[in-house]
Amino acid sequence: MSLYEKLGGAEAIDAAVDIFYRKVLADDRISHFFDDVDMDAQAAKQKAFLTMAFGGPNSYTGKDMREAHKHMNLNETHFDAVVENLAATLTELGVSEEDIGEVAAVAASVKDDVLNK
Amino acid sequence: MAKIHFENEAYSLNEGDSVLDTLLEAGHDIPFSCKEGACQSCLMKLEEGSLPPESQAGLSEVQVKLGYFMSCSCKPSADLKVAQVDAGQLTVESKIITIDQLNDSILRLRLEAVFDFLSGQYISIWIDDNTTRSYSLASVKAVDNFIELHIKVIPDGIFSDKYCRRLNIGDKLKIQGPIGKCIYATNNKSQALLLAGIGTGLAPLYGILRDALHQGHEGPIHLIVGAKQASNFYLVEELNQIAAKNSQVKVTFIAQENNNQSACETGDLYQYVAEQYPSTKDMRVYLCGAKTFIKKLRKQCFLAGADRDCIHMDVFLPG
Ligand SMILES: Cc1cc2nc3c(=O)[nH]c(=O)nc-3n(C[C@H](O)[C@H](O)[C@H](O)COP(=O)(O)OP(=O)(O)OC[C@H]3O[C@@H](n4cnc5c(N)ncnc54)[C@H](O)[C@@H]3O)c2cc1C
Ligand code: HEM
Repeated sequence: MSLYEKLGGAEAIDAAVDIFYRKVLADDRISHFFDDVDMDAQAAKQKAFLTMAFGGPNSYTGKDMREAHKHMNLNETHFDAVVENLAATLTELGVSEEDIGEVAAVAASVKDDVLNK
Repeated sequence: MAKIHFENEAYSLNEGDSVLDTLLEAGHDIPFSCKEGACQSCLMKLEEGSLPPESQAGLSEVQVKLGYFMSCSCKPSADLKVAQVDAGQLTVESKIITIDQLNDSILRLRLEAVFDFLSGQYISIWIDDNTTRSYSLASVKAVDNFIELHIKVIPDGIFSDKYCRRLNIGDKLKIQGPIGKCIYATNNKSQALLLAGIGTGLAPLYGILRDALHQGHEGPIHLIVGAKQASNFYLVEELNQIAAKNSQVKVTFIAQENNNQSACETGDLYQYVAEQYPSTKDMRVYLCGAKTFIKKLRKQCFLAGADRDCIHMDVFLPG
């Protein structure tokens, strides 16, 4: 079974998105990146993010990730904050340490692209 | 680059531009108002091609089947052939029943209920072939059987001042709608409801409150109305009566400044909500009025625990 299936697939994403979004908005290190009026469009993007982090079906390439984040001038602190909030979300949903580790590994695999290194 | 085919011409769509932008740029007279996918005055009809889903968000099933779409929200990646929709297809005429002054700067217009609607939805009024303005529905169809609008008069405003000044009882308005889903909709009659608005943001909330009571809502309902000054409030008497008659209803008026010492709270609405509701978990929230207000309070209520799909909004975008 893939990590995505193990975590519960699309349903798990739906459960996670509001929790994750709330954490991110409350985190002063990164909240300004997500503070858009159109919360629904933001939530759709966060679903895309979570699907990818869960190892689910997506068609983003490294180049897409570079493009999507380039204009934000992100640094290590921003990246760590996102990963921390993601881990805290998964803990809240009762996901095991081991699976959280796998999700963090997926995130780490796109780190250079996201930080435009 | 995608092309828009319209009236036997083809126009290239610039990066980030909508169908509306492109056709206006080319000199066509296309009606529009809010340009943010709310008022639906820029509806056009698809003849060939496929539409991005957001250009049909909020349209009725029939409108979607007819291929109608909002040209302001349509940024296609491939060619489209489109046609204009005659305003006559979108609007119906409705006679003005009464015009009242609710306070110094707010008018109440009552119109014939020429279609079914839900309190808290809105209509777009066509002022001429290219200009519309949207107003929210403050009445309850089953109870009132008229359309009620609360209009804040903005000095020199095209509709709220210049046009309204000339209106008389019996005049007919061309109206389009109803539009929107900021309505009383819960299958849990004991859910706690929080209704917050500024200025004429009270219009949809007044409708939603009365609709909820009409439908037998049992849970607590807290209506919070904000204004700059205590003298800006309206329908105070009516709302206090509703609260007196229905024990589950609480009405709070909160003004930033209170010079004439009216019976209302003085202070900051956001702070008041935060103090009253440190947790909004499991609540249903309705926010109506200017965009900045809604943006700020929506975030606050979401962070305090309300689910995203339990926060309803009626954003008064300027035309
Ligand atoms: C979905 C929706 C629902 C709405 N519901 C209502 C409602 O129930 N009641 C209501 O009164 N309005 C409502 N509005 C706002 C309304 O549609 C008009 O924008 C408003 O009445 C001004 O129109 P106007 O033609 O009089 O002024 P315009 O001629 O369009 O504007 C004149 C000037 O005033 C400015 N202006 C516009 N709005 C405001 C404002 N609120 N305060 C201060 N300055 C402003 C404009 O930027 C412009 O400079 C709603 C808007 C939308 C999109
Ligand atoms: C941890 C690894 C990350 C992954 C896998 C990831 C993934 C994604 C994905 C898939 C999108 C949607 C792209 C689109 O469809 O347009 C996106 C958008 C976005 N990401 Fe990330 N992201 C990561 C890290 C970050 C970080 C560290 C930040 C900032 C703190 C961030 C901020 C954003 C923002 C603001 C958007 C929306 C951009 C827009 O509105 O166009 N992301 N991300």
